[in-house]
Amino acid sequence: MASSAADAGRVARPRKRWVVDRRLMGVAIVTEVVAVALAYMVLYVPVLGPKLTTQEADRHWLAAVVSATVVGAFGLVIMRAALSARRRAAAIEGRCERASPAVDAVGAVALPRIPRSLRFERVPARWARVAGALSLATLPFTIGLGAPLWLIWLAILAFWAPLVALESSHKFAYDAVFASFGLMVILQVLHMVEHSTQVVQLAISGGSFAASHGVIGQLDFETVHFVADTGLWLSLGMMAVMFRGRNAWLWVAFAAASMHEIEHLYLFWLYVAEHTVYLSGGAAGIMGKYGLIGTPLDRPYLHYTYNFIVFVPLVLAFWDEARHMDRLRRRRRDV
Amino acid sequence: MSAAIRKLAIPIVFLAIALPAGVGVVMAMGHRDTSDDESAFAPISSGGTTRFERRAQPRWERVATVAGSGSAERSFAIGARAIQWRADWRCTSGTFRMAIGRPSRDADVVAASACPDVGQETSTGRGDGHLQVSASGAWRVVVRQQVDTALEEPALAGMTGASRLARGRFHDVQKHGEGTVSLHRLANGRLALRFEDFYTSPSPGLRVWLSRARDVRSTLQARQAKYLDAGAIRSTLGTYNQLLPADVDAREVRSIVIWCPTVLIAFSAAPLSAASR
Repeated sequence: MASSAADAGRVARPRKRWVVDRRLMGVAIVTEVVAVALAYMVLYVPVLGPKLTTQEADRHWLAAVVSATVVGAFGLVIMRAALSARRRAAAIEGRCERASPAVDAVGAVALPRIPRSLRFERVPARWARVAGALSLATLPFTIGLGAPLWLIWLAILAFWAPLVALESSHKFAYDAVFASFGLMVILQVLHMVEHSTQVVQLAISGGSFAASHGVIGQLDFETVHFVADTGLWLSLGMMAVMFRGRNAWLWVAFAAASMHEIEHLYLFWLYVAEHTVYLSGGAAGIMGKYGLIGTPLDRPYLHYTYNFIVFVPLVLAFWDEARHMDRLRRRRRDV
Repeated sequence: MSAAIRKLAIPIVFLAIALPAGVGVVMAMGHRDTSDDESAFAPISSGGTTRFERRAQPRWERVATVAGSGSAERSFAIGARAIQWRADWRCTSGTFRMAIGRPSRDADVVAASACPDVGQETSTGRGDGHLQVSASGAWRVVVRQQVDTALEEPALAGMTGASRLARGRFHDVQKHGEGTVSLHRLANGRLALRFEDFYTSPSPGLRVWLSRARDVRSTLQARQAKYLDAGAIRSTLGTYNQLLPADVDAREVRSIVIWCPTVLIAFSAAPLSAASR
């Protein structure tokens, strides 16, 4: 080869190796499965319900713009607050770094497979096993007695509630923000269970919305959705500031929750100010099928999607935060 | 800063692509328009003609009513196209025993009870039936059959061109609707509707709303206008009469809306016009 003489003088660079991020791969698989299931539901299990004509839906565009503006403004405030918190923290850490090792430097030490901060620390493992066994033991009784779905679910949760409360109070004493984050994740898990159940109910009932109100159907009304999702959105924003914007997945969850919040602000306004419009198809919202902008997703499928794209990054953010917590603990111990 | 952007970019791009990609793949596999419940009835042959017989939402029709205070027998006929039939019985005192079978054959005892009591027996048999009741007190049996055929009735006495106050033609709202409806004032002063060649998409529990809106083109318009619920629709297919409640003011009935209380949508509507009298 002509270039061999020139190549001889070069130093051989080590080849870049493509390493598959197993976590990202797992999320990709889960996301694809959910996406395919949703697409199936959209195509073959349409939800029959009232729909507004295009002109009727377009009449309320101003409310949607106001909702988007409010959410956007809050997002900007959060980003600004997170950046300034980050700058202040960087200045403090710069001064302290001379005295103590950085958190990530400590992370080089092998960490447990499941972060310690996610495990039961105050509650003995035996108690957790007993709670699990008792929860399962309720199933034959509640199902056998023909109890409604909400009662079956509450019976399962009842044994876990005191353990979670005890563990939370322990973690709260150590790090209140992290413990609050954990409770937020648990609430979102329960929220996700509700939406997943609703989609399954729609699949079973052939798209009957009347027969598909989740586990605790009594709470399936707009005010509850608005309060729950607004609470999550605000909490995510505050968490982003408290964690000084370092958690990338938390920002993704906040962005997704913000999109969801635009929808719920608009829906809640319709629910309160234009109740007849809400009942006559306005519940589709902005992005729902026959909504202001509209997508092929009927309302239950749209809100499942919103919650899913909030839930997945939220769980990843919590996992990353738990890892960070472990490193922080190790550093505190070392110091 | 660039590291932070890289860190953020991966999850954002991932979530932005993965979800729509999955939806897109399945969407690309084929789209079925489900907005119209009759879209599946497309012509399938090019040479001949394919006819689909319309079916009504299954409804219960009374076949026979038998009542007494001792023993009795009665024959009845279940239509050849009935889906099923049932006998609802009620007794107030003594004992009650009911047997049902074919005429001139041994009947099976389907109910034997101490009164007071109520019950219901169902069957899918068709043709002639024979009912035998032996009881020591008062009782009543109503035999009903479930059909999904068109309800065909002659006009009520006094329903003439002169008695017609208004008339309208059904159109789609969120479901299909066709045929006409006329508002009549009967000789006794009572208002009645006459549905002709009427068809609306079958669904259980449909109601007839007498709306004050001049016309209803959406569920929202149906809800926003004042209306009076005139009761359950008698059939989703056919030519028949429907008596309206006694307190209805004809001047306030400007359109007829077929309303579904289960899903809360307007199925179809007919604006009434006095000009077409």
